[in-house]
Amino acid sequence: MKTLQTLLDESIVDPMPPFTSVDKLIARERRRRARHRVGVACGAAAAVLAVIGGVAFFGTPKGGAPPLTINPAGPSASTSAAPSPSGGFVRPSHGAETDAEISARLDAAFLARLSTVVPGASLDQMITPFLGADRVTLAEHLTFSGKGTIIMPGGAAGVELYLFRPTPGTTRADPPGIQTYKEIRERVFGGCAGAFVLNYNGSPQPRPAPTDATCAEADGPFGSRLTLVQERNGEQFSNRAVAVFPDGSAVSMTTRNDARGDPGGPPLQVMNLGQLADIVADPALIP
Amino acid sequence: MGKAEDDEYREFVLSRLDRLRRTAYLLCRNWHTADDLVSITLTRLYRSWGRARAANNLDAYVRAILTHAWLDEGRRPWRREDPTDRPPDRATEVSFSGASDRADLAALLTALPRRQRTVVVLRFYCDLSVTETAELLGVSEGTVKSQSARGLEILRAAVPDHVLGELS
Repeated sequence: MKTLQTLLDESIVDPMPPFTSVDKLIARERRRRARHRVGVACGAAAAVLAVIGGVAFFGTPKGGAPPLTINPAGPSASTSAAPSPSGGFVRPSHGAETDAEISARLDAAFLARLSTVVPGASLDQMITPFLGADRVTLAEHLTFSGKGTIIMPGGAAGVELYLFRPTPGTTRADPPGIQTYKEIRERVFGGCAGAFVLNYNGSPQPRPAPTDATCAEADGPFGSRLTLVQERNGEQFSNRAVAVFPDGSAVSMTTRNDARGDPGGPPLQVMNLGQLADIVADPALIP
Repeated sequence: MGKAEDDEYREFVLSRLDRLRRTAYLLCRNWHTADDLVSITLTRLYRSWGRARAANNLDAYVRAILTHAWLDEGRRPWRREDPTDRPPDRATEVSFSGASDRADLAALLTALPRRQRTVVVLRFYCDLSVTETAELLGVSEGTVKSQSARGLEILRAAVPDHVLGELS
């Protein structure tokens, strides 16, 4: 007796064409990796632009930075993770730290990186420290997060950071019914495939359809994998850059246009994706 | 990746490739897009092979990559399809004779809205449970059940009752 699985399989009547050789795929990926190990000292933004130059990122801001510009700042001087000649990643080692010590370290690293990448920018943080321990975000990850507003002469943008370090064998305190973390896991570790996962807090949440949404992936410094996302929904505009490092650590930074922009004017974009990429690809931001 | 890992990846992919392509075809209903999705999936798998190969269920991992690539494609303006809000009328007189029913089933599957088609393919072609499907899609089990039921209702015209009866 036929099953629905069999019937579905038999419904495929169009002949299957030849497929690209798997060996060609492997060879292509090997060449790609070899290419992107070169120039790792040039910073994340240059590599990003080289790889995703054809992606139509949007948003010509009023008084802000263009959508994607090269900001060839190297890795933060505060990091102890010096790249090997091949761009290999080594997680910075800080010894045993309390949450308060980690917060202080991360705050300093973020502010240092921000001022390097976006001269003149300052952080209007809602609470101190800006980056605090988040014990309930993701299982088997030490998480620090922070929300605030970045202010610079061109305008302002809301900012949200999530910083992750793998801690295998640990569990999270997961409030019953709260499953927002699925969204965070997908949006941080899922690349473009997970970039637009719906928020889910115990029941499906309808998500406003963005007017435009774009995503691209690229190789970054220190063997990181970058995901760059833009979403626009009317006058709401956000940029998000995520760097996932080879050991599973990750840094995610989102900026959103601030409501203090001119009513009815185009979305105000303070930081472009290249700048965000330069910040998140700094191993000094790993907890 | 070293040669040993490349060989391991190659062996895994070749043993799953046909099934993966057919799953992709059922989702998007044309070989060109299907093979695009499979290429994206295999590329992402290769790039994460070091971590992926240690996964408890590598097939599930690959299936998730494919599914999310498919759903992501649907969000891009240049690839957006127009899912119908009004599925075709159910045929009232269809005898299960083979070739014509395959074409009917194909047409009805094509007419399902994207998410509903995804749920039907995951549940009944990939043989995932309600829980596994919900987990993969990041939705509730109730949503999976209702999408499955609606999808099967549409496909009823081309599927024998005794087949659908076993699924209820």
